[in-house]
Amino acid sequence: MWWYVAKRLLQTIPVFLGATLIIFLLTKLRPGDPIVALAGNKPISDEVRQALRDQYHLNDFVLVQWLYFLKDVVTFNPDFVGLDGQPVFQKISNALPVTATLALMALAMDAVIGIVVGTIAGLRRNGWFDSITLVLSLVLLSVPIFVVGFVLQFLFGVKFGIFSPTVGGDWSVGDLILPAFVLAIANIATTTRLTRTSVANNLTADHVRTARAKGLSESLVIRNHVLRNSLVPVVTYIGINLGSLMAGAIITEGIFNVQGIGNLAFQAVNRGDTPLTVSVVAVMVMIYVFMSLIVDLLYAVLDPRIRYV
Amino acid sequence: MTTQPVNDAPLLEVKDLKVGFRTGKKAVLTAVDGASLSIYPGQTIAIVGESGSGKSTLAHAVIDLLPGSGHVISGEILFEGRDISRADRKAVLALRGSSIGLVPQDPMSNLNPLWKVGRQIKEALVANGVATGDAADKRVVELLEEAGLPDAETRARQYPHEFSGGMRQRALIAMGLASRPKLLIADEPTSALDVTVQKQILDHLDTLTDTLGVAVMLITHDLGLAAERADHLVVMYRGKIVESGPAREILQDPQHPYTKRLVSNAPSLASQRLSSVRARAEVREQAVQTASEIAAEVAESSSALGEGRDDILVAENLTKIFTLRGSKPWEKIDFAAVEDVSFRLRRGTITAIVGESGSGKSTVARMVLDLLPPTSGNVIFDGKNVRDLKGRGEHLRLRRQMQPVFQNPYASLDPLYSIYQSIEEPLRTHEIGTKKEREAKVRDLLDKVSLPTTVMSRFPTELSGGQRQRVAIARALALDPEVVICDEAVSALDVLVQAQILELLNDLQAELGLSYLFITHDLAVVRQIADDVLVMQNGKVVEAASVSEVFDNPGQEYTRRLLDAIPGASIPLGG
Repeated sequence: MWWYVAKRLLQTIPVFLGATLIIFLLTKLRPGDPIVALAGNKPISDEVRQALRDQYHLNDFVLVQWLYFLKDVVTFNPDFVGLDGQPVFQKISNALPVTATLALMALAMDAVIGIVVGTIAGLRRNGWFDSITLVLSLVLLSVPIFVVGFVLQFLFGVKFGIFSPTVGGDWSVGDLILPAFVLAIANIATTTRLTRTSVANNLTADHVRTARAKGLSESLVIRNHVLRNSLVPVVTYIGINLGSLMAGAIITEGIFNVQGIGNLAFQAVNRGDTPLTVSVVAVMVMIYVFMSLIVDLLYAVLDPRIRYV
Repeated sequence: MTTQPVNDAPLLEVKDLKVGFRTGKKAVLTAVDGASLSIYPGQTIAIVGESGSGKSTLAHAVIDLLPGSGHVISGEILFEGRDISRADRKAVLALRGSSIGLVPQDPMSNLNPLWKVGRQIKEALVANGVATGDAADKRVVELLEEAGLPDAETRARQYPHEFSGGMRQRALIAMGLASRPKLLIADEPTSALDVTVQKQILDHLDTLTDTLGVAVMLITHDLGLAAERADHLVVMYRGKIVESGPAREILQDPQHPYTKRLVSNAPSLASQRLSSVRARAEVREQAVQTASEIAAEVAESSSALGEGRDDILVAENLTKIFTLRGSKPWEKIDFAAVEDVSFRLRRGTITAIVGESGSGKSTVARMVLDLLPPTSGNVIFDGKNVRDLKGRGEHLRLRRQMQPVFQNPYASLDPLYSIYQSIEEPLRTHEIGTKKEREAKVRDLLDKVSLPTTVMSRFPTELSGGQRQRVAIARALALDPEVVICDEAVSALDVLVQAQILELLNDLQAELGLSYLFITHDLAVVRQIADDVLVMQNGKVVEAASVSEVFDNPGQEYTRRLLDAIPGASIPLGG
């Protein structure tokens, strides 16, 4: 298994290089002069402009600029700054905890609600609970996240005042409950459906019939032979979700004013701040890659047939 | 086998049982229609029938495990005098495992892949209150040993995927007998296994149920096997019991037309008859004659690939080595799937390659078909070395003259292609004829394989397994090949359908002068269809001889084992 882990870790190197290069080039293709944006759209003298361009290596060939960026990132250069002159690593490490908490809370809601509801629906397929679940999950999947976000913010934040409608810079876990739920909604719907199908399929599996023939009671059959088998595909899906939840945080963080990674990425893209944009996206890519590695390893824990070589 | 005690009351009595599946709001499909039978303590009875005859449904009704919308419509199932078809869940639950055990059909799918084998057997002991804790663990090992699994203590701690098919079936037998039931339902317990393993397992099950005095309800599609294993036979056809009685009586003097057809056509039984050898000889004579006429044509024509030789297909020292990944990234393991296999197929004859799964016979077929490059050795088609073929043109010509028919007609036909499209496709690929001519050819082919032209517009899912295999044969014949390679072409089919397809292949050979390479794991079908036999084991040819030599005087221990494993061989037949 360690060979497998080593191989996967080695694979992250080309992924990192490729992802940063693509995003670097894309931000360079973006119209508009970053120096003008930096100066706040005011006219500046040519000397100042030249000085700034030199400082940010903007006069070099684009691939050389990328190599400068790589050098700063790989050496964790504390002087590596964004266009606004603020250190990039500092900014990311400030924004990461709140987004990570948000994503983990969303993940927990996704797993608990999705698996519980999905299992009940799957066990009573075509019953009333199942039908309601299916319709509801379809509705949740089809309504865009910003609609659900604003509606829930208005209802629970403003009208009933159960949660604070915005989070802001000084956050607590309680503040994040509502945003996390909004973030998780689409995933909950998918997890529910996936669990339902998986449970329903497993119920008709041959080995489940054999378990019944052995004389096991229905509850034992379900607990030992249906649930764990059904969870194998679900765990894969939920694990991969953490990555997408971090990325999906951009909209949710905007709605609830969470000062997280999503907000940071949004601002950086708006300002044309290449170093910050590429760094933030690189962090997201890396989290996604490591999550999928963890999921793959977890998969082997759940299913003894999986062996990595 | 035990003889039935006269005074005892029956252990299980099924009276006029009707089982149905709801297919729509009100529509009900009757799967078992008025079945009655009784099993006495310690007796073994076999229920025989083809797929869809309702034999498995009947068995599942007894243990109340009907799938989906299946339900008992009317009739009674009396177990020790109590009607269990109307009993409540709790009473049925109490019977399962402890009074009625089940050995299911497919060992691959009937063990939970996520739990250790020992734990899955222990579960049964605990649930039925036989033993708990350490005592149960010890009992599990005893049970596995009893089921004939060597090194049971280690095996109990392994997962199902670490077991071979035969070992899994032994584990399932241990499971079915764990709580010492009075009745064991064995639902095709060995049809997914190799013939030799099948025999070992059935022998073991026989001794075991005999010593324990367990009554057995054996479900099988193979009449020969049923007659060999049970003293009482029940023949089912389309949901009804058409005949029942002592095994020998039914085999020697079948009454119902369906049973008569089974007795005369089932390959395991037909392989004993000399008449099938004589019939084959007649076919061969005709085929060789037609083939030599074709060979003369080929020798003169310039468009055909070959030279019109007598040995149309020759394999010389074929070897295939697959390189597998080892446990470390830089480790490579060489695995010889086929080692030094040579044979020649004479024009108008049939050579069979026989072997168990993993013996390399299908790899040989793929190399001969030029679908897999051999590591070393040559395939020579009508004097031309396949290795020396140049360009797409020559390879296409080879494909025209050599066509395959594969095992699974469900998988080898594109579900989105109509039957017409499937058969016409090779003609289109090779740009043969106009649209009208191609249509005429498809009609002609369907006629040759005895299918009505009305199937042209239908899709594979609308046809039965036998019909699909006919379509696959028609497709293989579309290009007028000289050689047809049948890779387990009848193995997935019911016995009667098997017999029909074998007959079709024989007829087509006589008519068209075809040569077949016939790959099968079942020696029983070989006698009806082949002239020469190659027996393969672990990638090597262990015996090569004519069919009659192999059957009458097998030279190798392994071949003898394969022959012994043909079920029903020991039973004298009438007629």
